[in-house]
Amino acid sequence: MADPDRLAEFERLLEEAGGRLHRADSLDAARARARELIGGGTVARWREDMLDGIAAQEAPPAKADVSLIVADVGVQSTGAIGWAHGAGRPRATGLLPTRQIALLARRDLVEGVPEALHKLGLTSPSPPSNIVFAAGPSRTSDIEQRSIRGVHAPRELDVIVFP
Amino acid sequence: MHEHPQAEPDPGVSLNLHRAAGNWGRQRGVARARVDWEQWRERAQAVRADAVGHMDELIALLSRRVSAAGGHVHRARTAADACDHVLRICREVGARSAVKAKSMTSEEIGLGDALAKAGIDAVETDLGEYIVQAMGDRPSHLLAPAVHLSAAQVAELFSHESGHALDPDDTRGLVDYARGVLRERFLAADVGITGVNLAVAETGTLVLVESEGNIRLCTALPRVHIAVMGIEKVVRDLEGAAHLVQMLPLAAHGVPAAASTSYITGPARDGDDGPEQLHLVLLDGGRSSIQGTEFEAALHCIRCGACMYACPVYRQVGGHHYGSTYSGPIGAVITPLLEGLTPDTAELPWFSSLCGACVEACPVKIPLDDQLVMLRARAAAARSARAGRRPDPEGVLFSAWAALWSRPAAYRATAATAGRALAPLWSTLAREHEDGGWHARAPFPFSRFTDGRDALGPDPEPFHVRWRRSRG
Repeated sequence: MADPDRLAEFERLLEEAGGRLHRADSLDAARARARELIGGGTVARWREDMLDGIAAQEAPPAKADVSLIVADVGVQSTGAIGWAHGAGRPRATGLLPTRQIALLARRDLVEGVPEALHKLGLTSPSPPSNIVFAAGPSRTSDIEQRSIRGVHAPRELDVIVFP
Repeated sequence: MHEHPQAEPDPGVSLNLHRAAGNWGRQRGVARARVDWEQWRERAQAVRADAVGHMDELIALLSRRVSAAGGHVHRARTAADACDHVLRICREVGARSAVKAKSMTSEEIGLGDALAKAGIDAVETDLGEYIVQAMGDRPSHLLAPAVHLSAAQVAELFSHESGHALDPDDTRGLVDYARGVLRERFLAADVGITGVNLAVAETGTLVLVESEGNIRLCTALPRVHIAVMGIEKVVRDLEGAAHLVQMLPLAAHGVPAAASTSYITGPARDGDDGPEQLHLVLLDGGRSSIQGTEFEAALHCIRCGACMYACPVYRQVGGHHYGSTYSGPIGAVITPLLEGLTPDTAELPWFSSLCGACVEACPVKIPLDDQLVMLRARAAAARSARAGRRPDPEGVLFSAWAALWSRPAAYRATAATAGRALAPLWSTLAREHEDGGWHARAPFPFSRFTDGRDALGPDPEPFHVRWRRSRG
């Protein structure tokens, strides 16, 4: 699939799953977009250089309104983003706040699940202890089949793609 | 004959199930347009057949890889052994409270009761399962445990628990209430207990698939993670796992990916906030006795629930009437295989019209209809053996009927006569019931058949006569 089509297909599936895609022209533009989306909310974030200085007000994951992370991979065939947890990348960050924002580099968009698993290091000799893929926000239809977004994990998912 | 004493449809259950099955039917159409469905099924079947065919070898490899990644592996021959392992681990780590993510395997081994007896405060965290647990009820579907309950029942429960009146029409409010209650439990729990959807032997990775995020919380916040899995859930490699991980949400909900999928390889490492300990409990529970038999394909099941919504019997009576952990067509097959043909399980293979809709829905192509027929034969043989030299009246009747109607001339001669003879009798016996069905009350011993069934009378003009006439 041609490059622009790959992003379009990823966007279609992400939005079908209830997430939102934002296109940015540069990393700076992506950071600015994240700042807009955060608004006045408090932020729990990973210790990643590209996330430094975006949030005005930080808070621990259990208290924050918004979580800010870096997606290591986007999967065209499923519309999911994936990431590995580890030092400076706590599991609780992307899990406890009700809103989640993820930055995704355009070059990290892959075609299918096997490539994504490889990219995340699962085929390496010492794979990460915990890898998560999220396709849209968490959801349930346990009460009379009524679909509700946002159960235990975030209710909203914004993915900002930059070159 | 073989009517289950409790198998009367409950209108409320039936309504919810029909709604759920209708949703599933639409989703299935969408799913099939997304991929080359038949080719995907072939591949999924091949992955599962390879795994189950080499289960011993792959379980040994998985155990080595999980240990190498820093996890602890515990083998359990029986359900009781598996519970013992979990309780021992809880004792060793000094656990007082546990959060559980929905797992049919933990349901199968009765882990909830075992934890409660041991004084460990364990709460189910999947919304449907939480509701079912709080009601003192049991799950009725693999993926939608509370599908048999109404919003009004849930609102009543939550209102009672919280002391505030909650509106059944405010689904968001009901979900948020449960989220709030459970969030506190997650933050306080010592142990997180989950099932496993797949385990990758070559990498020692446990794959967990979910919608709500409660599995991620169970594997992120508590200091100990215990995963309980049936040994048949192993797959050889990541490539096979990647295929099944996409097939599962397609078959279950018609979507290309579940809301969250976790790949867990060992406990947390330096600087990671996850659990310090990972324990994997491998349950046999009768599975290895199915391997190598004509029923081996039943172990290929990936627990997607598609056969349940496809099944006209399940849709009518719901999951509870099976009286077993696994319900629907796969439950009717796997339960007698795991537990043996006991008085409790021997009737399950009759919970089917043998229409084959389950086979067509199954993403790993398990021949459920063939297996149901083989199990019926086994159950009948066991009954004859128990009867000893006394003739089994049902067997004699059906053998005679089969002998007669296997001959076209005899069939033609007797079908019309039987229809004409029985029709007036039927019209006096049958009456229209208030639910719109026709209930017949035949005299004993035939009442044993008619009491639990809608019975349409025989047509005085048999089908073959009408067929011949319509074709001129």
